[in-house]
Amino acid sequence: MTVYKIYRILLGEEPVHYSDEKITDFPSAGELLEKKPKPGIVLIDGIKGNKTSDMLKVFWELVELRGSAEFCFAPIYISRTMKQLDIMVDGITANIEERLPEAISILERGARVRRDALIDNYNLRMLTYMYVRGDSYLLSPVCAPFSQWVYSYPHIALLLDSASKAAQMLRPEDLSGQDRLRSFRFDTEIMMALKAVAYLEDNGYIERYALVDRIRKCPKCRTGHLNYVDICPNCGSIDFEKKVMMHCFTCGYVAPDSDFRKSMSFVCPKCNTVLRHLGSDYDHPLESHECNNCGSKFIEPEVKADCLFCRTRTDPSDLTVVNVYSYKLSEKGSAAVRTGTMQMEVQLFDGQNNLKFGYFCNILEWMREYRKRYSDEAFSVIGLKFSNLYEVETSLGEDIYNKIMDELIFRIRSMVRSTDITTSSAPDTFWILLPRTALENSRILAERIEKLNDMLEITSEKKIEIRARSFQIPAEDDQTPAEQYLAMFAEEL
Amino acid sequence: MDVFGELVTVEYIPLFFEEGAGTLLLKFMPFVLFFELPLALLVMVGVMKYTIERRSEPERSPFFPSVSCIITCYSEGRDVQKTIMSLTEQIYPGKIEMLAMIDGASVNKLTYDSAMEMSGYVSDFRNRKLIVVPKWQRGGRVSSLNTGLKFASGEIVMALDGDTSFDNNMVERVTRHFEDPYVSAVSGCLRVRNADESLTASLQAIEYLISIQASKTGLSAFNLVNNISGAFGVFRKSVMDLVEGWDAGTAEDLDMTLRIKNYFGRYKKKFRIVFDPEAIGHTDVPPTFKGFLKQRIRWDGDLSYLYFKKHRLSFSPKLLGWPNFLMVIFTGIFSQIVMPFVIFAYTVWLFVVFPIEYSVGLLLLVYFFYLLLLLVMYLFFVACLSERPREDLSRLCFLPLMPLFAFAARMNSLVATVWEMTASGHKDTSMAPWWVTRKNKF
Repeated sequence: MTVYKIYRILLGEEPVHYSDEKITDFPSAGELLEKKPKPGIVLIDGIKGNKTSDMLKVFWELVELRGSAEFCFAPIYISRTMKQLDIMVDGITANIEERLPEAISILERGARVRRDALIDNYNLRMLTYMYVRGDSYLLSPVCAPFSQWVYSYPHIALLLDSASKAAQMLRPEDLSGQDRLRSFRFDTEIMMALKAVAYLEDNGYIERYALVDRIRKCPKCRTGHLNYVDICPNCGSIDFEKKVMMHCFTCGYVAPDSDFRKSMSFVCPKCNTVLRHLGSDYDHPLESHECNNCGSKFIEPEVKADCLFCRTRTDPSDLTVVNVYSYKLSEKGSAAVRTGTMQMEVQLFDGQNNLKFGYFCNILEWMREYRKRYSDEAFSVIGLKFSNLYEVETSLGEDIYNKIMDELIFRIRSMVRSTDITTSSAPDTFWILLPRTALENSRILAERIEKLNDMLEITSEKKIEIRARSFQIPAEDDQTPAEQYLAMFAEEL
Repeated sequence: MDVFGELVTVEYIPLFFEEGAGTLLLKFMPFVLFFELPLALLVMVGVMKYTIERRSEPERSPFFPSVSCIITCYSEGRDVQKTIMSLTEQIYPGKIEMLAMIDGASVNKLTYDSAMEMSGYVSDFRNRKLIVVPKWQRGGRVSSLNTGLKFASGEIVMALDGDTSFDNNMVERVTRHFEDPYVSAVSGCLRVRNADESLTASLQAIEYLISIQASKTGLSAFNLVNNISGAFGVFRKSVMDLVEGWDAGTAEDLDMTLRIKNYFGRYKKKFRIVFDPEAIGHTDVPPTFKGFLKQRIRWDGDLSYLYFKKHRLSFSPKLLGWPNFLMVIFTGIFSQIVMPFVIFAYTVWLFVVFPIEYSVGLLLLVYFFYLLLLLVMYLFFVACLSERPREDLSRLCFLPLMPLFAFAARMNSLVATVWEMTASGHKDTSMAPWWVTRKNKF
């Protein structure tokens, strides 16, 4: 049986845990990682959790450990409670010996994992994190009321490559560390975690276990912080008043009670009777409302949901209903962990002909060689770029955006022949290799792709800008790598 | 009337006048000269004084003290909702807190539930608050009032009955008097809510107008209010704290009035009790004649109990001040307790000494005199005071029955006094359970 080491990260002068020969101390996660250590158990010790700054220190250590390929799924413990951070670690313990059996079982399952596959695959890290914690491990949502997403999976958020371009592109503003920590308000990561979990579910790597909660979100920005407000049905103003209607028994006149009020008594404006007693002189036939803005009168105000973030006003029935689930690793997910391979993550193209970028370049170079030999064997490449996905998503809201994208992807896929080979070099840049196609022919196809925008069934104010160009790699040049050509082409897009 | 018609023959009538004015006067004297007429005149002068002063009443200043209404409830059932609604509906910008004290709430479940049902209604109004206090064990009216006083947060405290509802300007009318720091209490005006239910109820409506709305206005003009009605009394909270709330026993309203008046003499007449004929509460009266007599037996019995037993020591000009002392003697003891005896004795004397035709003829004369006096007073009061003149004038047709009704009431009150004197009838009260009255000192 392998003997696993215990790495202790000592952040302060007050360790709870005794020192012994099994434990190796490090001043920080950074120094531990520099040593390229063997898999082991991590204990964060030496610091009291009663100050925010203390918690912040622990948090950044966790970010560093979970962000590394070595410790992304390792068992990590803390010696004292760190409040909100507690759910991000495997446990709180003053005596690590007690936790050894469970920690070792995590590490033993971890030994079956193909570690090299984890280096640049963050989705696989998530699956691995779940896998090593056993078949009964549940990925449960955590309610983070201060986060605009309300429910998320903050322990998964730690595993994400938060510095990656994708995160920057989607939400460029960044909160200070202290703000992030306060009740998980590191919204960028939280949203990324939600997207990642949704992606894993869509692709069958994880499966729903139980329905935990149901929340309603703004259909545009997807935040759950909504204000239900009653408004004037005519002009939408919130400034309206309840008007009590009065009915004079003597002459039958009905009007708001303010019309009857004459200094300290009610006098019917029609018949001048003094109305003294409810039930014998007058009654209130109904309650109505009067808008102070537009003056319209109505019985029932309308109720709308105002988004506290983007100020979009939505009818409550049009709000996006989101079911929040806890998840289990699926068969497919655990197979992906064991083999270290997941299918390509590109959404635009899928199937056998969609290749990793490296393979695509190899094939491109092979085609170039082939054409050199058989000169009638023309081929061309179409580069495809969606240049304003982020702006469109933020201005139209996620629902409409997704519908547009679905239709767009469907149309583009139908234009691609089964012999065409596809890949992606960036989240918004895609490539199609068209064998036996001259530049002129591929140009026609590129133009048709560019015009797709105007042919969509869903009309919207903001359009996704599609740039499509056809390129040809010069046959005479066999030195420059295909990758370099594609980088050049990408600049033209 | 038929009885009278058969007995009285026309030839007897000149007989009265032949005897000369002096004898006739003598025969009327006990009724009229010494008592009824001066009182009626005092009241009419007072009403006139009030009417003139009311004309020049200044605009209301922005003085809106907070008001706590202690509503004593027992078995009113759904009627409690009318009371709460009419208080919520008040045209008054200040705070009104309603304390519905449900006495014996475990027995009077309907009353309790009815009061509780109103909380949603009240919460829709600004500056209105309803607190329902269930007193599971029955403890009597006084215990309800004193418990309510503990909860009351307003500067003005009202003691109201759960079966009385109010005009929507009541609180406004009542509170304006408290701007004068020497006003210690205000008595509200009661009218009959179920006046059209029966003849007895209609007659009581006429009686209420004369003996409450008009008489008290007249007396109030001279600061001589004889009683702050238990169904509708308004007090300054600081005065209530001074007299330490209501006292156990029956007729707690009169008791409270006398105790407040006891301070009048001590503080050199600065304090005042005001009656406002425009602060109106509507209450249900017994619709049957039998019920009416029973109610009066209780009231009048309580009255003599209070005057002769409990407040014997209060009858001093030093405590009450001279005018109030005389007034209590006059209206309280003389009119309500002694007069029934005098009238009874006089009538018996009449029938013993004179031939029956003569006696009956004389009584008929008395009847017409009273009717005339009543008619003049009624029309005068409706003209000066009534806020619902049309309704009040519609009852003019019942006026000829009033002298007989009043006579019956007087005789009834005689029975009550005798009952109280001989058998301590006040302990047999429906206002408090026997285990409470048993402990009473008097």
